[in-house]
Amino acid sequence: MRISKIVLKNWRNFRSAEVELGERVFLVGPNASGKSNFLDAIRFLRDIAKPGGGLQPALAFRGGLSKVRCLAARKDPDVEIDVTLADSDGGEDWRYAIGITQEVRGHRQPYVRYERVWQDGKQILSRPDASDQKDELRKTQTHLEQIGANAQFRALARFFESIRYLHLVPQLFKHPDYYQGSGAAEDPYGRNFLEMIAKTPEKTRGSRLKKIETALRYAVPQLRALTAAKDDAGVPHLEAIYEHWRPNAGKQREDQFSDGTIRLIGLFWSLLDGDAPLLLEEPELSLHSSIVAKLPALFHKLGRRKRRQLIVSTHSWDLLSEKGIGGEEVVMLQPDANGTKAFLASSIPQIRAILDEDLSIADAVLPRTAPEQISLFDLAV
Amino acid sequence: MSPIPIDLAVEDPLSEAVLRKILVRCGQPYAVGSVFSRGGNGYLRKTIRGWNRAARGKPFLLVTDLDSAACPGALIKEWLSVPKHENFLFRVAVREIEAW
Repeated sequence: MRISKIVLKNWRNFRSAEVELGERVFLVGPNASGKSNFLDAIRFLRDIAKPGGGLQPALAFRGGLSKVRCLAARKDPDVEIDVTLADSDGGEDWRYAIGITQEVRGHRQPYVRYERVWQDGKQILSRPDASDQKDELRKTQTHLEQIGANAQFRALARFFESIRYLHLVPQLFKHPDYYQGSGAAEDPYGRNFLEMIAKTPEKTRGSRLKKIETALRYAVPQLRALTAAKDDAGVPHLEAIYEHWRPNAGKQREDQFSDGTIRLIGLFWSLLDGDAPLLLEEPELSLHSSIVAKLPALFHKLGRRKRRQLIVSTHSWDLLSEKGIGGEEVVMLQPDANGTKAFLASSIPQIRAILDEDLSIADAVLPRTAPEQISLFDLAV
Repeated sequence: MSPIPIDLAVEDPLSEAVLRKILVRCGQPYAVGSVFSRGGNGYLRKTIRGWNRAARGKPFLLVTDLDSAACPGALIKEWLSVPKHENFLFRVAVREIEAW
């Protein structure tokens, strides 16, 4: 199952946006145009549906509804997210729509203005219902987050819950103790990445690390024998042998791995982990351009094999130079005074024309996402 | 008069700056949209067919330096093997834009 369409209203940068999404999606746009916030709308649904999640914690984590609401919005409107899910394997199609607002006075508590679910085109949930009218407090929770209430659309809740997001920060991964944090079980930035690897069943872990090692050999030829190990205190680590001129190469732990190596390990691990949609934030970071250029093909291969949806934000020329990327796979974000607009690159005739002449998305699209006054940037200081 | 949208493909920031000035001074209300450039003329040459095609929907101006080539006409023929679209403005600075 994948997200085939998303509609955002008053969500962060997006006052109103609607785009269709395929199996592989590249998000491009200038800095601060809303690439991460686009991904965050999807993560928000996950945060509602996940165990221990819910609407209130998901909003609190983001600093409250006023932080989430679009700055370009007019006078306290609802924040709305509407996603359509398609199953290319012949399963059910779903649609989930939620509108959120908050009390105008008092605690200004956020509550559900509406919550709707469709299964194969037929609406099976429409809130507020009679019980909601009787007990206003019910509106502070979604049915999506409640096992007792989501029985009819459990598959939908499970799907949201299974969505993965990764934005591995090598420094957090290498030196988790330096950084304060919530210590939450959920951690896309790498603080608990090693623990997550350690918790994976041994057989699965072994086979994944083997695959990662094989792939890494082409990117980092000196590295071999990648394994998970625990130190005397029981703290999980990754170890590898780093070959050099001495005949007996030394073992290295993750805090000695290069940033690029760590990001590659994280990238491969998350690609191999599960078959739910994966949201990746700028996978090109720390990687050599020749590796970055190979990423789209890798995404395609893994996506195809598992029919897994990948939604990737990127600024990378090398990544988008891959000629196999079609205009319908690229979501362009364009900020203006009324919030960011989102549209498919293929919806612009000029871009289609350029792509038809065998040029790449990098040629056709990236220059359009550059800020207008960028030529003055280096004169500023 | 309503603005005439136009895209540019140039060798470098200097060419872009010169073209923007020219477009302002030429008496037509051009509105520059995207500027395509990767430094040098190799990129322009490689991608020229795309820009020629893009000109079908929106005027497109490409400017390159003649440098050591013999003459602009020959350079244009050599670079663009397909018929030039009428909205595709292919201009050659003799010998280089710095001389303008």
